[in-house]
Amino acid sequence: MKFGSVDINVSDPMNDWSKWTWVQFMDLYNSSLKGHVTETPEEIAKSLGVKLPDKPKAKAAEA
Amino acid sequence: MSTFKFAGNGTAKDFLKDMKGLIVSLPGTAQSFTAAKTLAGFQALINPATTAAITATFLDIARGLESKTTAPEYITANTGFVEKTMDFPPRFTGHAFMSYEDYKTWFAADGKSFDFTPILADGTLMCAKNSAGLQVGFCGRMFIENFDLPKAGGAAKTAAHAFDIIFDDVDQFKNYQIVKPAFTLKELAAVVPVGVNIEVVTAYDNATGIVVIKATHRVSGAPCAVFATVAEWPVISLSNDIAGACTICTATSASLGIYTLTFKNSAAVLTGDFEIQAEKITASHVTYLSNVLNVDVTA
Repeated sequence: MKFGSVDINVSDPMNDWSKWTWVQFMDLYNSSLKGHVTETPEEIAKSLGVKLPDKPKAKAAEA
Repeated sequence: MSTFKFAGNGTAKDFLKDMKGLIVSLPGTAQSFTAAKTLAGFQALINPATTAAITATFLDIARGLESKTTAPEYITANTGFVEKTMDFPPRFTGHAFMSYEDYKTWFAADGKSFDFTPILADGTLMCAKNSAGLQVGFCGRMFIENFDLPKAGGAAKTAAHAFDIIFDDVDQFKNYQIVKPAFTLKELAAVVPVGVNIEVVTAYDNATGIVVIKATHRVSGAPCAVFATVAEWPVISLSNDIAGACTICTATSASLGIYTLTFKNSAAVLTGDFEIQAEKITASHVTYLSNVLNVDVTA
């Protein structure tokens, strides 16, 4: 899958992107993608099928 | 051998053309004689749609050929009666028309068995036929003759890229077939993928899985900018990991021949040396092919 001049492997049968943790993906993003792509980590993760981090839950309204 | 019958004399008395090249194929590589007459038939062996399917290549021996075939053995009985007791299979040294860097890619073939199909100057193929009636090369072995220092000049220079070819079976030659193909020698030579050198510029980082590779055209050293996708960087072998592939290919500096590649086993970095080979597939044919490069992984 192409992001500018960067190509990410989405056809490796031994690599299931959906099993990557967010921390693992961010390690990869910071080492191999940052500075080479214009997309955000979330945009690339979404395209690859990497599970996005849970959004912080809204505080429960005070009783 | 076929049954001997008197078969007449042709009106023309031409010699067999000189041998100019060899199709070197993996042992047992076979195709129909119909396919062997066409360039497409040999393209399916020499530059098919994937490198994994490559089973043959063309070796140009335009720089010369020295026959080293042993003469048949004749024994004279003490009665004076002479008989031939042994035929020896052909053997020769071919001087390849290639660069030293091309020659170096053959070093790993020293002593290996291949099938060889000689090609004559007019494109005629000399080949064998297997029991299924298919076209095959003559079985034999290849030895690399020159693991030596650079030759200083003169005739030795042109003979620097020598291959010793020893055929295994004289009976295959007794039954050899002549195929008049629909392509020329030059057309066949042109289908061989363009050879590219790849080398490590920055060693494999065992924290990130990144290795920086430089790809250049052989001898000229001109940057090769065609390997911009992960599919063009297949892993050929792994020494320690059960899986591994190019996860990311960054081709920002491809115009300089520089590629920043991330090789991983899923999310983990690779833990042992691995081999890669760059390849370019265009219109269902391998058009560029690099040397096999061992990437060192140090703990």
